[in-house]
Amino acid sequence: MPIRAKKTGRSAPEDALLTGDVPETVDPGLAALLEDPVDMGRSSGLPKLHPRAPFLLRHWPMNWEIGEVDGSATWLPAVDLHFLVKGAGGIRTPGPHEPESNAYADAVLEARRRGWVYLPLSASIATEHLPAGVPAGRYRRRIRGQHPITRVDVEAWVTPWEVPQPGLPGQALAFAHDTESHNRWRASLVSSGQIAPPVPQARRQVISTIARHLGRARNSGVSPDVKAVRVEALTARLAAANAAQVPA
Amino acid sequence: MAAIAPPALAGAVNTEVGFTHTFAQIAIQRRLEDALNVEAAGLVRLVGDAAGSGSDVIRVTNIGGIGFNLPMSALASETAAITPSPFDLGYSTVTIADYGLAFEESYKAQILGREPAAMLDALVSTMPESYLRTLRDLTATVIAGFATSVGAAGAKLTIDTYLDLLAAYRENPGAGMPVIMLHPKQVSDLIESARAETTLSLSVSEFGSLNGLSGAQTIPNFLGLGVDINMSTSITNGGGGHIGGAYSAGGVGYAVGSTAGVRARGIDAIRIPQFGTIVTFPSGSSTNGKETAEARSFVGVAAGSSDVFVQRKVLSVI
Repeated sequence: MPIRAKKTGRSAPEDALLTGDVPETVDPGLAALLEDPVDMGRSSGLPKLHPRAPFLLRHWPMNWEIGEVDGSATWLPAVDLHFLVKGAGGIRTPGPHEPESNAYADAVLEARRRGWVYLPLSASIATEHLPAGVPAGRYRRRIRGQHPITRVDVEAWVTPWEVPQPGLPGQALAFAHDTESHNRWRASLVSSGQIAPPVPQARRQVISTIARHLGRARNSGVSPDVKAVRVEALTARLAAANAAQVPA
Repeated sequence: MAAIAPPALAGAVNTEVGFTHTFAQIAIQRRLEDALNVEAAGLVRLVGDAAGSGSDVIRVTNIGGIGFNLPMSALASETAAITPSPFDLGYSTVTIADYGLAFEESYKAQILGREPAAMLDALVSTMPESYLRTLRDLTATVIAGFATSVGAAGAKLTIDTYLDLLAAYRENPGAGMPVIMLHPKQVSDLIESARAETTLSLSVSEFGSLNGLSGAQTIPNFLGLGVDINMSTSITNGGGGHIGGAYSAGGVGYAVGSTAGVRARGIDAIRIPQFGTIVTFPSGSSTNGKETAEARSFVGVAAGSSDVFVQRKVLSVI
């Protein structure tokens, strides 16, 4: 089915590539459009910045983590960045009159055929799932700056959970990851049905990895003090994994 | 004109016939740079050339369900018919993209220029390094796209995770030896994690081989476990973590569009076909009293099929 076929549900048109039907083969030129995000740049006094490529967020159904949400151990989906870098992983240089999304349409559809689940770019994330002070908006934000060495204008694309940190003038802008709100948002992806709960095999994989680490710690010849700390931490982690809940 | 009163003081004389500063005789110094060459390190292999193919996409075919993956069937009797077996064909693709880099210099700067290292010809000579940097960035980006991972974005990289990684290769016969590219911080975390391992801290030489510096960006035979680790700041990050990676040798490939056949005018065009790169000096801009050097590269990097190569992201906290 062509990806521009009429769609049902809540997906915005620009999300057709990410969440719409996956055709068996790619229709050339039928890539969905992803609009640019809100411009957060400033015209003067730009910070020093290491450039970062734009990206889409996606989830591999076997990749899960145990994280803490509101004090409870919770199964959280690993959410990965698919960097939209031309020449990497099937992304090409579009023709002069082609939309930018044509560059990565093939790569996204190929990934979806293999099982990756893309998150809709148009969805607005509520402030309760964001770090304090970060306004509601989409999962992809742009910051403009100057390259720390060459001083040419650059842009860095980040998630709203990467919070810029104050630093010395002239230093490249650094970011701190806000784990707490990121975990809340990831839990909401499962409870809202955007990401399916973990299959038993995925859970077993996580638990068996922790159990294997615990076994190694018990068998290791490190000093008793170090060993006791390791065993205690891994035992607690294993217990948390076994007790972790799937967000409802 | 200045009257120099005796004694002739250095400050007074230098004001008239001296310099505020002179330049050291040593060559101009290059600033710190991450110079890992992913091609030389075996982190990426050439899979094809798109020149003359009519497409910017190269498919690498793989076949499965034959040979060691297909045992013979026991026959029901000595006259039993044998059912022909199917086999499976698949492919991975590498798509090339266009990259460019240019420097520009005025004729007057060429006339008056004092330091050769800062002039156009010298800058052009650094373009192949910029190509290799691009190839490395693309490789790191491809690594971040692997589906399967070891470690976690919220935790330091530990020996446990490294052993998990090696186990993945041990438990997938045919995977061969992995090649590894990690962020330098990930490598430091690994080394610090190993600090408590008794077997690695029994002697000064073992302590030194683990914690010492070689100045290189490749640590051969890391921890004596038979695998080299390459370090680069090209490694991407996301979700609060570095996204390093490991894969069977050949698990990430690159393709170029050879520039041997480009009909660039002028005798000065420099072609590096194996890099898919051509450097030209467009004449149009020279009429404005300046010379421009443009490098264009046609290159792409992609992961091979996970049916052929074992590929793992290596995650750890920034």
